[in-house]
Amino acid sequence: MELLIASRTRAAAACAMLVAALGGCELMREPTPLDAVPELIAVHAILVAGQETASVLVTRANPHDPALTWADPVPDASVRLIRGEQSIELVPGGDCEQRFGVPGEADLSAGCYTGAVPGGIVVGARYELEATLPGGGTITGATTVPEPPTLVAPAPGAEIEMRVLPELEPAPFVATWRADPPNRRMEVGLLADRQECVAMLREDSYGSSTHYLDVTGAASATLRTGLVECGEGVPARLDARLVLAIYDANYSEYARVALEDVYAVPGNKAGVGLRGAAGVFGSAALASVPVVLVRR
Amino acid sequence: MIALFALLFAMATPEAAAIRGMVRAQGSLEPIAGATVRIPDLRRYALTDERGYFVLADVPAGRWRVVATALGYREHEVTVVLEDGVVRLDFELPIQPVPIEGVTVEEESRRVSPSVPRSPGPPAFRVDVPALEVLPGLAEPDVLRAVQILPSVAAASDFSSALYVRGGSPDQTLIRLDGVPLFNPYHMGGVFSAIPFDAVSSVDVVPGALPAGNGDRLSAQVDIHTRDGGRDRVRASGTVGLISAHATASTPLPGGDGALLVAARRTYLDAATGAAHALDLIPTEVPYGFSDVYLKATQDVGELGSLSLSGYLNSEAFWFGRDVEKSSNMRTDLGWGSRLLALNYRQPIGGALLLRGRLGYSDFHGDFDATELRWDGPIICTPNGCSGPGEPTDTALLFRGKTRTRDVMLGVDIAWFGRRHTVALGAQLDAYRFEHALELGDVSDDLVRDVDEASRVRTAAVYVEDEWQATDALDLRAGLRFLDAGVLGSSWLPRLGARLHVTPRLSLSLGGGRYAQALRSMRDEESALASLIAYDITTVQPATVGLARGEDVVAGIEWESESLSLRVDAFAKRTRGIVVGPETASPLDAPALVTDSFRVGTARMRGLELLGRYRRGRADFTLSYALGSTRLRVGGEEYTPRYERQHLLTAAAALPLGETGTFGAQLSLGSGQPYSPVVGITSPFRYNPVTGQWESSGVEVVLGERNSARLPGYLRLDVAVRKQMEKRWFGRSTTVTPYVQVLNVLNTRNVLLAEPQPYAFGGPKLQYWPQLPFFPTFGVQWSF
Repeated sequence: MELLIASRTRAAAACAMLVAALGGCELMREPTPLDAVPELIAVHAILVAGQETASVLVTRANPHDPALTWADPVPDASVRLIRGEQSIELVPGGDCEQRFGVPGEADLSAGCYTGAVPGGIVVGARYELEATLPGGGTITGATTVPEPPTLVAPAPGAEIEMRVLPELEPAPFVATWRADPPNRRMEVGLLADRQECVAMLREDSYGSSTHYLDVTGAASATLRTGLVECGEGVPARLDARLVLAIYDANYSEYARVALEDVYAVPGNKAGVGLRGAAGVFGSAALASVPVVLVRR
Repeated sequence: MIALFALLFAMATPEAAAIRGMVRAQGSLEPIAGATVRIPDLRRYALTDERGYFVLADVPAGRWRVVATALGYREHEVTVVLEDGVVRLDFELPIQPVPIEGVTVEEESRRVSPSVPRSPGPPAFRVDVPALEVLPGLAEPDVLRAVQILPSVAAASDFSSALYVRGGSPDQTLIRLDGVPLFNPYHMGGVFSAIPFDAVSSVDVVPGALPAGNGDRLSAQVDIHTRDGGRDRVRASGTVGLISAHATASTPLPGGDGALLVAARRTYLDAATGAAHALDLIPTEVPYGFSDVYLKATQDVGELGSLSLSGYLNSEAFWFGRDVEKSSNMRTDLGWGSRLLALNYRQPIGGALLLRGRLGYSDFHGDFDATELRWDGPIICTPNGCSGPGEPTDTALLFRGKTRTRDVMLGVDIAWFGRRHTVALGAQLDAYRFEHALELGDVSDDLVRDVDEASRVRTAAVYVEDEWQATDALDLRAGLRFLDAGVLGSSWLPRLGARLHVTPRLSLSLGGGRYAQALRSMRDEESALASLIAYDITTVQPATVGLARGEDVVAGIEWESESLSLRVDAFAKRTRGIVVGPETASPLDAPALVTDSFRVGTARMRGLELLGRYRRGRADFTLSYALGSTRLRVGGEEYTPRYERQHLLTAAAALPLGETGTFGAQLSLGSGQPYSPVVGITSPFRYNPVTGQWESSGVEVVLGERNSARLPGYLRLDVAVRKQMEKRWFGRSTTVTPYVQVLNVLNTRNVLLAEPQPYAFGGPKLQYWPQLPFFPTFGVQWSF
């Protein structure tokens, strides 16, 4: 018996070694393509309180996009914005190119639908979205426009130091505000009045400049101007506006889930404020104060 | 409680005779745990405890045959004449002779295999650790890996020795060394355990239906029993393996009524790679080292009493050499480990009482510092290393962390042995203290966030339990435990068990109980790091949640013959007050530690387990299969945890290879672990409030229902070949056993987790992270 077991053992061991040798030392299984996974329709729309137009972007994800926009426009959709009895048909075109045409990226204007909103977007109102896709399928959504925040400081016309060279350190300034509810997504940025100028901000604890900063949950922020560029040269004084935005619950959740540096989003959070599509249907209210950027 | 103690002391003197004594191994005189001492004519039996002690109480006067049997030892029989009073009867069992071809060993056919202690209710698993030495392990035999052969126990991955028992996370299993809780006994992140193999005699695993005397965890208790060391002469053994060496030595204490045991291990991975690097043989050294030391002194005290003091220390360190410092601009000083001190006292009183006390200290500690180095001037790197302008001129904090887990405990138990009742009662006090801090400097990572946690809790537990032999065929157990954890609350925890001996070979068991737990691990089991790192960062349950609680019920069937034993268990368990991490879609997005942001959930587990063992001569086969299901419910979401394997089959074999060789193999087959399937690809845009434009934010994958799909199945075959040789070194007869083993001999590409890569070249891909590849190791064991 023992002899038999020993003999079988040797054979099994030999077979195992042979299989191992044939198997090689491959460390990694081949990646599984995700070809069969659908590239989802996405809708992106923010209604801004007080604005007299509304725009909706309808795209389809394109992970192979060489222009790095990662999306293709979806034309020929039927898109409506509804507030109570009021129904507005949004049509392709309008100012979509300005809104969505990012230099260097693909032109998505064919997927942009715009319409005038008589009386403007109303604070506290609930707006619904209905979109019918050319191949069938309906997307619906809803948002309630938030109350605008109140900018307490800086005072209108306040002078703010700007830097035009990275090694120069401008003096900080404090922005304070009131917002309700306070836990909504809030962002603050600088908008130069001259179109050819770009004015950036940076928070005290960060070194890099950015167009706008996430200040969610705060009632104030210590800020410095970041890089300011005007093409031909930055003037000694530049009129600008400090802009503070508060978003509705939809965009607040969308920013938390989809815009963080994440590997993936859960299916039930891919579309916020929407049914039938990824993306977001949200709204925002802005407050702004005129300031003067001054070179020192 | 005091009144109960007084009552038991009053019962210390039995009316009829009692037989008590020790069962030891012949020669070394080390105690044998789990041996059976029977009086066949009375159909009475007792099992030895971890110290080899047994009591047969209330035996009628007369002339009786008393038989002692133990796995791996030859049976021993004596005849005693009893009148009244207490009779001491010690056994010294000779080790089972190794069968050689052509030689018949008559005693073998008379052997009984008490591999499963016959307690009322579903029994514990006893892992005979030395017997598993022949099975392949990573680098060397491993205690916790051996435990993972049991059907109740699963591993999260090839890289983790942490024990997932019946669907519970590792923090729900209490691991004790010499009766004292042991924290994080791992090396290399958990690739293997840090418990010295040669110092361990057996491991008892209670995976459910815990008796009242067992500690306060929701899932299981693992008791690691250590050897005393030989009492006859100096003995030593050791292993020189691929990355480490260990040695164990024991010597009798003066007087011959005690022993001293020392076991130590250290890696030479750092030294070997450092030397090779110095000789320009390899581009860099491995800046990691570990060591562990175990020491135990045992002294007999009074008649059959003993006092033992044991200490355990394991430490690990990770550092960058100067070359790496300069090339990475980073200086690290990372050190961590665990310590344990246990004082155990036991003293039989009269013929029916056994008093046991233990005092223990246990901790896990770590300090982690990393700084960024800044130099004035260029750093020039070549394949031979980097050279800079000298010492760094400035440093900046990358991260600084520390972790402290500490338990000081005191326990006392007293057992009264009657003819049909064994009543035990006891108490245990634990003072836990935790400090965990992590300060992140110039590193920003969503997976690791700042931590500042300091907490303490004192728990007090008392219990009473009666094991009652109701009839010759029916054993019952009823117990009650009370746990108080201060602000976390208190809980009454009833425990019940029953065993019906249908035939001498076949028995049915049923048991269950309620459990409560004051501690939790901050480790997020849904995090990818949980598949790679076994360490628990232990803390107290949130005060708003209170004690985590649970219940289970277990039914079992056991059958055994002289060469074959089979055991089938079915269980159902539920727990609540389980702290889990915040909601994240992907394991790669889940923070490693669950701190202030957490959710509270419930869990339901159920399963069916089979364990079979067949032994014939030197051939030993074990087959283990588990069918399990675990569902966590958190908020409105219900999902299967990432570590679950629905089916897990393990087959292990140890076969003779010639007269002195052994072939060991272990095959593991499992269903794939859960993961969240990719159901779509989307292109999120970010709104710019200043310009009113949308900005592209790349592509993201959209995941479906959490953990609703399964990764590819798991298959791994490990093999080992050993050859035992007798040598005469330094005037001593020495056994030398070289071995070669190959892990994952089929080089199966087992999957650790699936990483969606939306930006992969050629389009989005699902990248599989691999587990252990084909990995050969070798070494040599020696003993004298």
